[in-house]
Amino acid sequence: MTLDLWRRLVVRRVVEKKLRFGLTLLGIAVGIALFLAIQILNHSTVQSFRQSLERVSGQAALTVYTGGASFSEEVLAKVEGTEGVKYAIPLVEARAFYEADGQFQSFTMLCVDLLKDGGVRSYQSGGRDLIEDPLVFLNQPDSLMLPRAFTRKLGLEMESPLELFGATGRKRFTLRGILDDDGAAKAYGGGIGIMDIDGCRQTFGKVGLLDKIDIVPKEGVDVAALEARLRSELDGLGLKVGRANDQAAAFEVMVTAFQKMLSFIGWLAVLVSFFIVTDTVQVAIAERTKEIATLRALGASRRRSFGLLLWESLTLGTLGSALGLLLGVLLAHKLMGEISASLSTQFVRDIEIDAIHVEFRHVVMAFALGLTSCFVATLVPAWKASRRDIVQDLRNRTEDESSGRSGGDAWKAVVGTVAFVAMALLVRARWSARWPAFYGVEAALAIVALIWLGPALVDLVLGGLSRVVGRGPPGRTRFLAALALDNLRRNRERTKSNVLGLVVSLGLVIVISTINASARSNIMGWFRKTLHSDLVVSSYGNLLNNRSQVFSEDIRSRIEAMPGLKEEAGIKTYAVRWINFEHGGVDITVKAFDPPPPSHLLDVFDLIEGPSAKEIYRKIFVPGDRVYALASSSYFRTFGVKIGDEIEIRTTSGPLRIVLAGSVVDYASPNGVVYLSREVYRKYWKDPLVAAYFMNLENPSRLADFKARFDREFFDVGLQALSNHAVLEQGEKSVNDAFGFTRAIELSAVLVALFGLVNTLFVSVLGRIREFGMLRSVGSSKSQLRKLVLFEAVILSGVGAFVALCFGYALSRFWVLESLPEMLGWPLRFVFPYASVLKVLGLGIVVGIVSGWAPSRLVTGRSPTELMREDG
Amino acid sequence: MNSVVVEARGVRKSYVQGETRFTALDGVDLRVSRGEFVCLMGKSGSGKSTLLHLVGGLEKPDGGEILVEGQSISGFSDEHLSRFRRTRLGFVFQFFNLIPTLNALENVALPRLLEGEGMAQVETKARELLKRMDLGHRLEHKPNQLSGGEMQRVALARALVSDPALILADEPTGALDSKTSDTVLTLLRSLAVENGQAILMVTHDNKAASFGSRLVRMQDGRLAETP
Repeated sequence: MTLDLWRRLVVRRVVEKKLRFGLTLLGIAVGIALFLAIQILNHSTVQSFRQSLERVSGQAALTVYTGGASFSEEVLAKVEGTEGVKYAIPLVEARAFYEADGQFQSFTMLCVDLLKDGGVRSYQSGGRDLIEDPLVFLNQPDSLMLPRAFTRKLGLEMESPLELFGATGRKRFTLRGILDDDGAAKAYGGGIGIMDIDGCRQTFGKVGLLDKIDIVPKEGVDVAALEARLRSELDGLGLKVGRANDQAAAFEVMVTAFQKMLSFIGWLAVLVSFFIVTDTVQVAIAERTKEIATLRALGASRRRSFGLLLWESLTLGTLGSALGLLLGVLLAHKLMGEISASLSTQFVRDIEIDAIHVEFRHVVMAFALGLTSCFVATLVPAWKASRRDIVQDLRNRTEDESSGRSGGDAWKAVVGTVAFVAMALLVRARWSARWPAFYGVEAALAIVALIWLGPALVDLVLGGLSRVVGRGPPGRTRFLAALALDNLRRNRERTKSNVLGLVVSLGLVIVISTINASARSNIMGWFRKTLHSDLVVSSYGNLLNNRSQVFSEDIRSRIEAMPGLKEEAGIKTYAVRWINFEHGGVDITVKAFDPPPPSHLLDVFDLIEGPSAKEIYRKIFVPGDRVYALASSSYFRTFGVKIGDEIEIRTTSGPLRIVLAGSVVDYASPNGVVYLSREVYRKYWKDPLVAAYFMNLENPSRLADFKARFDREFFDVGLQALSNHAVLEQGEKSVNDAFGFTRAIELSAVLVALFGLVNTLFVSVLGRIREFGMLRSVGSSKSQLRKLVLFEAVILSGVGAFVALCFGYALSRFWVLESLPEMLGWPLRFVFPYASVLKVLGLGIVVGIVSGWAPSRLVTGRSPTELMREDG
Repeated sequence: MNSVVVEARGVRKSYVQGETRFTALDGVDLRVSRGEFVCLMGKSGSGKSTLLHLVGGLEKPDGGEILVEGQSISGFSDEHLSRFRRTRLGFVFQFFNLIPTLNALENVALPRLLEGEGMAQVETKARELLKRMDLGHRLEHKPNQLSGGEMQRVALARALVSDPALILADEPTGALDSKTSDTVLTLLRSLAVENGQAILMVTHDNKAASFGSRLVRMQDGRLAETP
């Protein structure tokens, strides 16, 4: 195609029909934006983690770590004594909480041996001395260093005080070093502090413990050989030896399932854009049959007319994809915080996306996808259009699409049904867990089912509606409704294409809403069942989000001395501690409990299968020859074990063999949660810290009084008593954090759906202007014409909504009951959010009516002869 | 030089409508020479438009042969036929069939733009033709800004832009008033007389047919008079 022809026949047309093509463009843009944003965020999640790791690791070639729990400092001597080790630099990481604007914020505190650390990590301070007086810094255990940007955020300068909450309570620290925002100071998005290791461990309850040992090898030492030697030296202690890359790779594996789910949503968004383009192309072709026939008559070959339509679509695709790229980057920025919060909640650890990392390949892929989907959406309609009968089209005699097609549709419906059943069986068989390529097969089958079963459903519904309308009371309204239905059924291909786009986009919204609703309902239900005590003592922050400060168990006697606590079987309070660590190649959570009062045992654990409460109590909390534990259903699924099996967990004191006594519901970790007695935990992990104490009151009606007294009494140590209601609120916040990002995706999907609907209805009406002229000329009034258009709009959007509901319900049922348990390890009860779904569908119908109103005004505003002369 | 521009030999064409087979042309022979203005007349369904479309390569005959400038077009591929229509034919339709997004100048230039030429190459010729059609003041106007007669004159100019040997007109005055019809028909006649182009026009209007140099009547898919 020459530039002249392109400019005149393609660009000018796009500019003249700017509303219609603008809607299509936006539909493409939003779909591509969502896809790109998800690719960027998935990549940025891993990159941010990798960069933070590298910044913290600095020059270290290897690191000793557990990936969760702290380990004894005795390990340091073993590492230092290993042949080939030049420096072994200990590191402790803690979470430091501070109060700002009435809320508790936190940052990562690195506790380092400042005398040795310079050999590994770099700290810059504008060319001046790092610390004004190094001896003062080291000799004062309250000394603290912060990055420059962070000090500005907190409004601090040298020698400013900063109050932090640690394991031993509230403490005041003094800023004695400001770091340039570079090197280690940029780790974790700059939300980092540096303290000397000794004072830091004291503050954060990690005396005698370490979190990492960074290793600098001697010159000329083979790093791989050193790694092997260290592994051998530290075997059986539950420790890992690896490079920064290994940890990043492990992290990537951990978040894979979540990222796959996000990617799937991104692909669905592209599919919706595809249907929007198909809609536009089909209607554009339908209204230009005469124009295309004229071009053919004037000498445009089939190839050229095919090319013309493709160029039009590619022009739209280029503009839409370009806009989508811009929106995608903006959307990624917007969703950064939500995704970080969601990941942190789901994996119960701090995961921060501190910057958007946009790779050229993501941009190219998103752009190419936009163009490709436009190209593919146009191929078949354009090919068909280029082969139409020139003479028939010049005479404006369009084919009756309803003739001779029903046989073809029947076999498509069969194939669609088979595809749906095949997808269901594949999901059930969980082949995708063993062979990830099957995820793609399942998705492809779902799409085939939708594309071929969907139209059959549409036919069925329209046929049913026709029969119902046919039996209605005679009159003009019935006639108009029947005419509207007849129009839609006659233009079968266009109707199906219109409805399908709507089905996919509304279906996406329904699936996301249902997953949200099911997860929320299940998780909150679980919280309500297991968080039953009158009060929970914790530090400030979000306990359930693992964003609160752990504290020493030494405080227990002071707590139990408070009057008003209920005692049962000698138990006034019981503590819980939970940690994440690597087990069997994945991250799991261990929850360590003190024995609760016997009558509350089954309140603490949401037992699915296992022995009696008495038996559980005896096995887990009464010391015996064997160690027993409960495990979450996700643990059993992940590791393929059953009740009664013995498992081995590598602790920092050596291997711990545990017999699985029962299974429980727990949403804390996708890979599994193990419930242990805290006595066993302390023995093997040598960790006396706790996350919370649970307690009940003799007189629950005096809860407010007790809480007020408690908060006053324990303010100095940074502890508070949370009511059951307050903890559930924290739980709700955790769930909102985990799923907050889906709101943006739902909104995008709704926008795409609505764009598609408006575009569909607008072009559908405008493509039949002459037909409306004919109706006016034979006596139809303006109001009848308006009603006809509105009937079609309501029927299209209503049928689309209904079919979307059917597909959305079926697909989301599968996701919640089969796919999500597989991907996230969470067993879920299916909860369908009827109210939300009906709102969205209702919105779709309202938008349908509005979308039909505007073109109907256009049609009724002209005389019949003007309409009949209209070339569309 | 052979002056026969179009020759139809034993041309047959039938259609299937539902379950009925309908014969539109039943062995038609026709010749049109340079400078001839031949009018095809007949009732609706007589096959006149079908013959026109077959000569223009818009459809293929079921039997017989059609030669244009001595070349049989019956066996042409789509690419070949399309090129043939761009370069050797000019079409004028009843309802003008102008492209709504193009102005008068661009509509006229369209066949040559489809041939791959640039606007700069075609513009001069297109302007001349429009001036000749007395539309020199309407070059930038789009079809929805032109009257029926003006649109038909633009269509006529378009039909001439490639200097075709043959102009096919399908009821060119069907949508025009009598005065405008006379103008268009006079222009067509002058093309035959002055330029020597062969014109084959379908009409059901006796007055329009009187502008032709030869009248051919069709009935039931056959010529009622000898060519």
